[in-house]
Amino acid sequence: MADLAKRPATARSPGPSGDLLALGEKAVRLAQSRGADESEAFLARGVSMSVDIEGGRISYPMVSRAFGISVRVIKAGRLGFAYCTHPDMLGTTVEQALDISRLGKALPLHFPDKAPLPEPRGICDEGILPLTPEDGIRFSTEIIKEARRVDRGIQVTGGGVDFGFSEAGLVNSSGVAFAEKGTAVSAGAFVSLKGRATSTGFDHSSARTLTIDFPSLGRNAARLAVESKNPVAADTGPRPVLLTPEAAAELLGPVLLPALEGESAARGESVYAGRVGQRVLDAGLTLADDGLLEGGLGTSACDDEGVPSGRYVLVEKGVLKGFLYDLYTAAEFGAKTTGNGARGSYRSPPSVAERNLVFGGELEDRDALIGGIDEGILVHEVLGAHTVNRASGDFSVNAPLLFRIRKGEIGKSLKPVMLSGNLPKLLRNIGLGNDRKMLASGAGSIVTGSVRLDDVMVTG
Amino acid sequence: MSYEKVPAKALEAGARYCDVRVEHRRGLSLEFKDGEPREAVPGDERGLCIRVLFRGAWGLASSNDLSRSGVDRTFSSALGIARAKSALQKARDAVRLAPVKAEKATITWKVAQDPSDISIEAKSAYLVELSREARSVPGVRTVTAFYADGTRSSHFLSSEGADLRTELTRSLSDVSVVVKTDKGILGNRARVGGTAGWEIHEKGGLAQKGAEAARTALVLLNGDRAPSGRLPVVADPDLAGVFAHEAVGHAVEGDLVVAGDSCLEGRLGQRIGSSLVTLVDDPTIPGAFGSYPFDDEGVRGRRKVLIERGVLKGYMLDRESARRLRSAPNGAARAESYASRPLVRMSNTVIEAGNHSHEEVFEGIKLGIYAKGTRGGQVDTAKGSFQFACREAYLIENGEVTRPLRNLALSGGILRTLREVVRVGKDRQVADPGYCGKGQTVPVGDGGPHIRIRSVAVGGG
Repeated sequence: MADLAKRPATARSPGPSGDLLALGEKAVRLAQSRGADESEAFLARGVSMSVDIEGGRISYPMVSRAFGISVRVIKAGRLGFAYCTHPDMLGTTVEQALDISRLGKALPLHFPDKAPLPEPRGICDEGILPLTPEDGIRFSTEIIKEARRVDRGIQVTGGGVDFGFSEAGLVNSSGVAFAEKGTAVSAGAFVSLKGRATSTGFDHSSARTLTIDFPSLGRNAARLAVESKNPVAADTGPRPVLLTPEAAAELLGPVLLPALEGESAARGESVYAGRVGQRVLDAGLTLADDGLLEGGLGTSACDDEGVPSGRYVLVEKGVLKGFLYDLYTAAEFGAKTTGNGARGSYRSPPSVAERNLVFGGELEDRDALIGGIDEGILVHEVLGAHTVNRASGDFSVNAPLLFRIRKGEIGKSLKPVMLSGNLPKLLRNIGLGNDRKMLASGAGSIVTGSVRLDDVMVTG
Repeated sequence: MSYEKVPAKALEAGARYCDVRVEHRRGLSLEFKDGEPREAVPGDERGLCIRVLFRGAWGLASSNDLSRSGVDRTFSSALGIARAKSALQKARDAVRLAPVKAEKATITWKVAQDPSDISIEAKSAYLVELSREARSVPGVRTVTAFYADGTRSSHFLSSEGADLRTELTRSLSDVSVVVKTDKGILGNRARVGGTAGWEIHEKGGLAQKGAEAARTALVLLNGDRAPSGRLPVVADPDLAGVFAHEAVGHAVEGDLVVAGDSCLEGRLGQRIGSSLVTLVDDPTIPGAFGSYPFDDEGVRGRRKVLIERGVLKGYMLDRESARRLRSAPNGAARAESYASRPLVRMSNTVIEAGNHSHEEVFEGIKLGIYAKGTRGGQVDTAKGSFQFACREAYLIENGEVTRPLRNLALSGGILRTLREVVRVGKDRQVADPGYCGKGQTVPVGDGGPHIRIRSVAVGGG
């Protein structure tokens, strides 16, 4: 043990996937023998490392190891779920899942059959496997150094680096036996700069491969804090607003994603309920959920229920094509799953979530988007987007980091304002930038460029 | 090795400090939609977290493998990381911990009715009843009824001799409704919860509260568009609590203060708000959702006066931030689970009662807003700005609450708003249950009386 202690932990693979599948098969056999009509085992194993930055210092390097098995059974059309974290508990877990299935609602529910799976690209980087906590500390140090190089007054208040390796297995009684390895890395810098008033800046990035430019995160965050020093008051009134990709994902995600869920559409809770075939967004905008996006945070050969991944077009040239479903909601509302059954972890049954929601269609140069604004604002950050009224899409959020746009040019930094309006209305006429960025969202990602919204109510 | 041996082993290996937190969590969550079961999730999980402080550097590791070899590996990781970090860090960045008493105790917070003694059928029947009551209100489109119970047993051991076994149970139920009329569609919710057992649902009256939430949503749908601009605002106890938590509480979290991420840094002893404002964070409130006996560094939870009559009296501190701020830890380090590090967190954050009657809080307002509850909020602690979306809002005209308003949000500066609290009611209500996110999610409570703020930026959707 003393020897082990000298060698820092690494994210090296804890073993081949074969043992995961064998355990999954055991769980399924057990469930079938105890009376399940159909059964499924989901297995997850992972090592993750995180290095936090706090107050300009690297504070807490941490390594976390987790292993879990969740079991789902279908008995008389009723679904039951339970999980455990040790193979010894499997028997109890299977019994628990069967017992809880009594509570389930009887539905025409079946686990998917074995099917050929596509080959996802760019989701496992061998270069991440040998990384050690020292590497995480080094990357974080680069972030801090580079930020302070921009201005000595910069304090990196938060952020850090996370990376990890994970392995998932899925086995069901219809012949699916699937395992996949993946890697992920994310990093962020949150900085403040004391002056007459404190200004702040941030940048963050997430990827499946070691492609993050750590120093640039620190630099970008620091520059933003320097540029946003000494803000002036903004005028109140309706204005065009250009959202950076980060701000766009923050504001649009919490409104669009629930509205595009099949369940909320079927229950009439979605602003887009009953509107398939109609134009609901800007005619230049195409929205697709792509489970196979190369290097996507939500990319995998299949979803967490074994349904093969693909690219699913939700909105084409502004016209609504359909909604997102997992197996359960598809069975409940007479639809077909779109491969959007996602598990946050082995602790929870699948629920509908985006894989990689890609904003595409007619892309404009970001400078051209700014150039087209005579009098407006550029917003880097919105606070409180989770408070948006999902039912109506009415929003009222705080924008703490913003700049004036005048005659097509970015001008002075502005004091925080409140932005309000109705998103479904605003989204019928937007401009989408070609500066697209992949931003972490739920279990997957949102890929968007800058978004121009016209006529947002700005309260200074 | 067994986990009990880890702290001694760490000292032998040259560590300055080590603690081990072993947790067992079990519980059940149930969700019903429109009276039909939607999801049932039983949970049962064990795991541990080891923290090692080696030459001023932290190393942490967590795992849900509690076998002897699993504990060995987790310990090796924590020690290895701490060593690696200590070799890379500058002397001035060295972590030192403020001293605390090494507590030894076994504490079980008993509940009147252990949720694990209640059948899943009874829990389901309760959710069906909640759904039926809410659905009896015409105009209700969907009702989601949610139930959760959870028991956490933990064993905390430190190299300083702390040895704490604690067990506590939390319960929560929630009704969320969506109403739809020709005027539009709107959601609302009601909730009961606490560090309590099944009894909280039996006496919580949630079925009536859920139906009331639905009726309120229907009233609000007929509301006027909210005005934009700066207006006087009366916040109800629910919203006052959220203000206490979001706008003030986060800004006095010691780790954020140390990190230069708080507008209240360096302000101890200074007047930062109206003399009417006294604000506390208190994990000892019996039965409140955010209560706990010890924090996750083994420090006893205690009532902390953060603002007293407008003067900033203290921060919430863990052992590290306490040392950096030359103060004493006050039991505010909480971890979401064994898989997370402890962070400075709130418990139950409350604005204390004042002297104004309900009438006095409202009197003399020519045009203003009566805002109740929130659908959420967010705060920028560095700049000191906040934003809340109100759950309900009404116009105040000449001191009287008149018409309902749709989709009102408030935003403003923390310090300015604290200064502009001009009335504080006698009617303090404690501890609305909720969850606070700061990278990790922990159960919290908040509360307060009706308060009146001279002017806040309000906006409508």
